[in-house]
Amino acid sequence: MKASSVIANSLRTYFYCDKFHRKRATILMLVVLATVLFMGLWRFALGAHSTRYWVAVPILTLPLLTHAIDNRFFGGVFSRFLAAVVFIAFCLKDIRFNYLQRAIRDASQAIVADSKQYRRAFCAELNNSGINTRVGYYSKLPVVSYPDGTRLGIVRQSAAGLYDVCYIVVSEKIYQDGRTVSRFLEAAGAEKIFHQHRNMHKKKSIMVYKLPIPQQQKPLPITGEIWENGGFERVSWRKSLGGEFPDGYSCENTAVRLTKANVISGKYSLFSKGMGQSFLYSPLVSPPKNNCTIVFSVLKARFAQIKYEIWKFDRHGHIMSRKLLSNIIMPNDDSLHQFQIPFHSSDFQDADKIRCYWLISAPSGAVIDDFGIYK
Amino acid sequence: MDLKSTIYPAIRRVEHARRLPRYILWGGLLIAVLVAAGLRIVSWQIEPVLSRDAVGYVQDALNINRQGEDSSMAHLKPLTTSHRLYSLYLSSRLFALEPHQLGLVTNIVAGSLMPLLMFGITILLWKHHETALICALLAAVYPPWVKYSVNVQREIPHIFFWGCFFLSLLLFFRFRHLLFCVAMGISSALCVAARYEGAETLVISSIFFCADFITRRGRFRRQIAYGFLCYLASFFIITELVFLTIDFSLAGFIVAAWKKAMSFLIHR
Repeated sequence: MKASSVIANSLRTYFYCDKFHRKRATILMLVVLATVLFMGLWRFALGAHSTRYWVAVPILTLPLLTHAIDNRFFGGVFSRFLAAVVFIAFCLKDIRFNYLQRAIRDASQAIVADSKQYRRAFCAELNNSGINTRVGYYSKLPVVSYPDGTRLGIVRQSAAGLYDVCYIVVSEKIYQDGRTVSRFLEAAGAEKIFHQHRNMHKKKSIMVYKLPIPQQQKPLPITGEIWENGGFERVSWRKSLGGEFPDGYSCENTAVRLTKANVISGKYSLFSKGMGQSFLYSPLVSPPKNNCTIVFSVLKARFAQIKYEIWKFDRHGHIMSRKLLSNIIMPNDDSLHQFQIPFHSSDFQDADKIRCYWLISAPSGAVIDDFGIYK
Repeated sequence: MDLKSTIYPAIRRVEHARRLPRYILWGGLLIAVLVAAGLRIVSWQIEPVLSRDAVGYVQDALNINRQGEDSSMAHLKPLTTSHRLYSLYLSSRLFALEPHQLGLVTNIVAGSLMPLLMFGITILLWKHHETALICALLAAVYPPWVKYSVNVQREIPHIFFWGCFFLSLLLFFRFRHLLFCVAMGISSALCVAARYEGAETLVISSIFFCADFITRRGRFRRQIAYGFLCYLASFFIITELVFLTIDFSLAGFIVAAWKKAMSFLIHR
């Protein structure tokens, strides 16, 4: 017997159910199989690894599985027993609940309860452990993620003068050795206010630390001229930006523009507004030889997220690395604030040139001005 | 042929398909739906914390509702275009429900109705009561569907409309009524609106129509051609209407999807 007819016969035996429409039933089943194959193939081809891409496939595979169990390969009591086994297996999987899943909500409630004694509080998530959005949602406080869990200095200097307290949320999923993190945070003056396991195996846990934020020092004057035109007063027409823009500065979209209204000082300030992230960057300059403080002022930046980074470039203009120096969500306040960011020249010794980047996401706008250094 | 004279014989055929008594058939189906609903509600009671993606959708919906207002939630995640339809739906305050409540109710209800769809699909494929009932029971407790049902995510609307699409497809091939093609087009469009992978329904329906067209002769071919046209027309009309709600034309959507696919393939 030919191989093709053997395959055709076995398929027919497998799918045959309607004796009056045997041929049509076989064709229908072949088409269903082709559909399953198509659904699987395109997902494999595009590398769809997440289970969410596969969620529709069981609409066809479940009936095929049931048919295989119930009709074709087995019969009678055994087929029903097999179906019951599959059903019980599914149920067991369903009722394997994680009774500690509430840990994120409990942590948020602990934060809310503790934050009532402070005027302005925010949350920080270290090492992007993926719980920041939920902590923000349940606590209704601004949450900022920091990529490096050991640099509490950035948290402090970003929030100085803006907030009274920072709640640091740590998920032990990232930190395999929870004691090290505890020791590090406690040495930095953080107080643990919450600790709860996240899963039934008790291998993950959430900890919340309270970190007091220092009050801001007095406004610093600009004494250095590493970045020229830091007051954004010298402007020229930019065809690419469709308007006037400060000389030497640029941005990657038109969400940042010059403004004459609500200026911080002089004739012009920069204004950014938009839900998405806007990139503003300074000219390429040689790094300062000595330690200094980078300053810039922000006005009317209610709920704006402002990230400040310095990028290092080699002599060919290729980017070497980027260093985050500040990341904060501004409080619900329109007052003027001066960012004072310590610049350690030793961090930039190997760079030929550096450039400052502001990554601004300002739903209700933000005014920036008076950028420079204080020696 | 009118719809009434199509549907009633269809139900009669379902009942007479194979073997199980009527009370076991419909009772079993009711139990499957109740098990599905109960499992989802218990699951939500024990694990009430929203997933990361779910919080994103809810925040987007809250932002839409509070646009222009001074809100304590204004710092939250910005709107993203790819999920905007779902966020718009959540922000609609349908039945006076808050976004997370609306998402949960929709998903629990749609997830609990999945056994009915699976029953319909299985019985149309094999005309076998017992198989269809087992399939409905398995669909009621299928773990990934239960997991997605108790979260505010787009997967459950996606599979629900996928199931509606496939059921309408099989109904058309069984009963040849053009209304099933319209239903197919509507559910296919809503499936694409829920998740872009739903675009596969266009290809799948084409496979089915082609296979049927090749194996049929005479007036059946004309029916199939009309059916396919009907399906395409309803699909494109509904897609255009749905995407117009986000100021986004179908042509714009196709161009954007094409660009996204190309950039994905190039950057792989």
